[in-house]
Amino acid sequence: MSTADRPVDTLEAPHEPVVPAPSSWRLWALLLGGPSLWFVHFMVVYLTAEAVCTPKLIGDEQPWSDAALDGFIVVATVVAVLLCLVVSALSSRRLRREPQQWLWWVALVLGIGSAMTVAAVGFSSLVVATC
Amino acid sequence: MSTDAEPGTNDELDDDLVDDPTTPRAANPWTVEPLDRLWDDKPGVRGFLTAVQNDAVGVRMMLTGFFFLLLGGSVDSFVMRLQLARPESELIGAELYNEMFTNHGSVTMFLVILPIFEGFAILTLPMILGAREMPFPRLGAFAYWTFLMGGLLYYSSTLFQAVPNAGWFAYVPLSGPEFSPDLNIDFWVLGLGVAEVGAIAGAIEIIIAVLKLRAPGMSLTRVPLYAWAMLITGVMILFAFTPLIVGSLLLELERGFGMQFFDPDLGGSSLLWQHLFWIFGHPEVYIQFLPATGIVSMVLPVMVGKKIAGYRWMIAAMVGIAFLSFGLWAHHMFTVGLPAVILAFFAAASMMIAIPAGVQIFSWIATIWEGRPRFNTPFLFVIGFLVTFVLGGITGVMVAAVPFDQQAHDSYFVVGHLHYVLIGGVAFPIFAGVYYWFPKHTGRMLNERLGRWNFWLLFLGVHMTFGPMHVVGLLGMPRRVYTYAEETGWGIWNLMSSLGLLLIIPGLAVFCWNIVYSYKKGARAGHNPWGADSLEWALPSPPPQQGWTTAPIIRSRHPLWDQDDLHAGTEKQESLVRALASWPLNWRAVLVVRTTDGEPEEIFRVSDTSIWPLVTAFGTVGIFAAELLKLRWGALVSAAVIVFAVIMWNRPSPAPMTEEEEIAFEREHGVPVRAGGSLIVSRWGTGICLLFLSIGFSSFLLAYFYLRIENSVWPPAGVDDPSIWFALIDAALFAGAAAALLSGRRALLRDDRRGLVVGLAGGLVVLFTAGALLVYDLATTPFSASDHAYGSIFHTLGGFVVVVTFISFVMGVVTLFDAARGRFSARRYSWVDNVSRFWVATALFAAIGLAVLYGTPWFTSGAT
Repeated sequence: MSTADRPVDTLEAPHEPVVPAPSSWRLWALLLGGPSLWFVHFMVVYLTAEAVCTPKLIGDEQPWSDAALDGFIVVATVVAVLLCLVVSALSSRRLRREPQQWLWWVALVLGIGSAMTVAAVGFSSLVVATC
Repeated sequence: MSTDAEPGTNDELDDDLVDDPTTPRAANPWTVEPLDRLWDDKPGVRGFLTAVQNDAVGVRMMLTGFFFLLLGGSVDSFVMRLQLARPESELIGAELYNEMFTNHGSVTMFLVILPIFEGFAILTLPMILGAREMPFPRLGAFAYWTFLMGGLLYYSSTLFQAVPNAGWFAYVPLSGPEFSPDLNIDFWVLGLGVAEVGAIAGAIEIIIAVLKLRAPGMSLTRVPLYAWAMLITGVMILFAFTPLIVGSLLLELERGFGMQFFDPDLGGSSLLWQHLFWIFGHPEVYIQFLPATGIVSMVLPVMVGKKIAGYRWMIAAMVGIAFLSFGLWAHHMFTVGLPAVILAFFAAASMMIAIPAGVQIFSWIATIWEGRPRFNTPFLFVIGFLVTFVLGGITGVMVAAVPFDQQAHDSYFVVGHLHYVLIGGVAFPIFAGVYYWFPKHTGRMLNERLGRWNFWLLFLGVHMTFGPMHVVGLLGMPRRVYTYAEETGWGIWNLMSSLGLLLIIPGLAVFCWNIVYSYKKGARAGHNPWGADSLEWALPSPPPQQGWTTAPIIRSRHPLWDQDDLHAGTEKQESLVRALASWPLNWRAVLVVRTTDGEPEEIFRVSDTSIWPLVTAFGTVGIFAAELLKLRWGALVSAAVIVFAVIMWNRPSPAPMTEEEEIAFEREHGVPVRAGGSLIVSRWGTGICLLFLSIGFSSFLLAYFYLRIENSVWPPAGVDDPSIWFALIDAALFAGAAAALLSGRRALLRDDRRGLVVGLAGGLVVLFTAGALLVYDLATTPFSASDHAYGSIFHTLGGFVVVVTFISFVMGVVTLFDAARGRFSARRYSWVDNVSRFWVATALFAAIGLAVLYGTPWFTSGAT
């Protein structure tokens, strides 16, 4: 098989241009930022719900009302969604500066995906009874 | 091609060489043979026991995994299917059936797939990445020995007629001392616990190998998808297995020491075990799935002659799956009575994970669509994977819906689902990988005709066995029952499932025969029999011990398809790889690159053969075995063995070159040489070890707060709040010890070696004082560790800080010994660097642990 006959990806140039190294900490921060925010949000709303609802299950008084818990979850969700979108925006800006460095693109996609997942998890509390 | 046959479609071409000579080859300098001898393990029994080379360790792990598969995966399932083939069967009794399904699940989840994948990664990653070795060969050897000994310890339960029998998840209270007073569960906890330690050791190797040990020019954007998958899997193993180790420790402390974590009458919670288990258990599925996707992403593009569609989407999907998989665990607990809002959280997350998994599926389908498939055995298994896994994935989304799950929970529907996912999503890619890479490691092609029989028997057998389980599950048949009444109407479906096994067994037999037959008589494989694109196919089949004699220079993600010369790059790169091809020939040199862009960063001396990983593994299994036999002095002896063996393991042999020679090489090639020990790789190793400890510590904290939430009164009535003043003073002492060592480290960097000794000695005195005070306080509490859950978690969390302090202290003493002998200098200080980080982490663990133990009651019930 000669080089000319070898498989070519429709989405990639056969020879990628040499890409300057991105700042390592910034790359990892943005690449993992969205999913990490998702996880932090998940644990915060889960542990808060556990802390609020468990006393009721064992016969104690709830520290917060169901409505207060709902409110907290919604606020936490909105904040987390916004932060995920900030990560996406920062990744997008880096991608515009360095279009060849497509790991910024991965960070952008993960940020948007994380925002969607945060919303799906957090706003599910609006359609079910809280505790 | 050197034959008329197309690459990879040979059939009975025993005398011919299957190869694609048009792809580039690795250079073949005169140093291949001397380096091969240098990197080879020693011969004989001693050589076997001291081997650390990645190919020896990798092959052993894989063979051990297959051995446990035949033992636990095949025999058990055959007997269970015989038992269930007819209603009201009395072939085996309920107790033996309990032992069989426990063994089947435990062995396949802990002792089969993981060692196979980790072993395969250790075997193959250096070749794929263009490196010579894994970063810590001795750690790899330790991982193997612990896997083997853990598995044997687990299986030794049969000798004592105490086979584990509480399911592979060992739910309390069934697995607790009240309902399982014999040793059965102890074998489960302790045997598998050893294997879990091995899994984590292997993961550390893999993470650092992918991040740091690559060919020059292999930036993150050029790392093959298999390596990405193993990197992500390695991180997941760290985060998933550690909570399980903590949970297992709590269970054994309850069983063996009378502590109370899971008994609600004494402030415990049986759900705490389920949480800790499933925080491991659900990611475990993806820990097995992601390496399989990595294999598929390597095999499929080659078999269709097309670069993978959506490489970057694949990376995003794998990272997404890794994170999401840690937010699904409670979907195994939908029927235990969790609050509705929590069910909603976990259901939503469980459904969302279908999105990145779907992205991967569409990428593979698009690649096939664009390419020209060669329907040989590896590709058939890939197709089998796609079909079966998609079906399993769809039923996975079904059980993510709470109302459906509450009907299907613990039914055969779930058994069918998980086997579709694990056999379709994991086992089929393993077969694809074996057929694909077997020629590289043996120099022989697997027989194609036998391969097709192998595939079709397995594919049809799997669907015939596990397809009917969905139906019988929906009809209401619960899992883990040893028989059922005839009038249920489940008989015909069970008979079909059992008959399916009659296809699977010959399928596995054909596979085994193919391995044996082809190893001796298979067609000879050249460098690149498949015409593949990744680096390992530029090496001879089988490759020399060092793999790459001349490191490749990477300019493309598909180097064998896009590059005509694998050793052409910038002048600096070429000069460096040429120099490393002929020097050094008397010590094992490995190149370290920058994480993101793959530019050379360091050359270091990788560790040599050693008996100490085996001794350390003996010590590890000794602690667990001593606990099993309730020989507490045996545990102390084993701990002493571990301490001694780890010290000896890390004892440096004399550096093979002087500091001046190192500096001269650095001036010539611009890359520092650290023949006395790597600064960068050891820093990563220490960082990941500390991450492991942090995850364990977080798991203890999670257990503490979970128990706190479950109790109205904390501490229990009659127990005073602990002294906050003691906590403040002791935390200050821990911080002082770390500060003293840091000052010594700063002195060393100024080449003030005496300053290091003074700072270290002072730090040791303060650290000893802080640790002794904590031990004294824990020993003199007015409550015991077995009185109630509060006492148990108080002593356990405090005990964690004591253990970390002890490790820090031992490291400090060894460092002081070496510092007094002048071993460290402003250039060779990596050991001091790592100990400093460990001490700082110890101070942080102590500060947080003391704040939680002594501060939480104070904050929640007022100061005393």
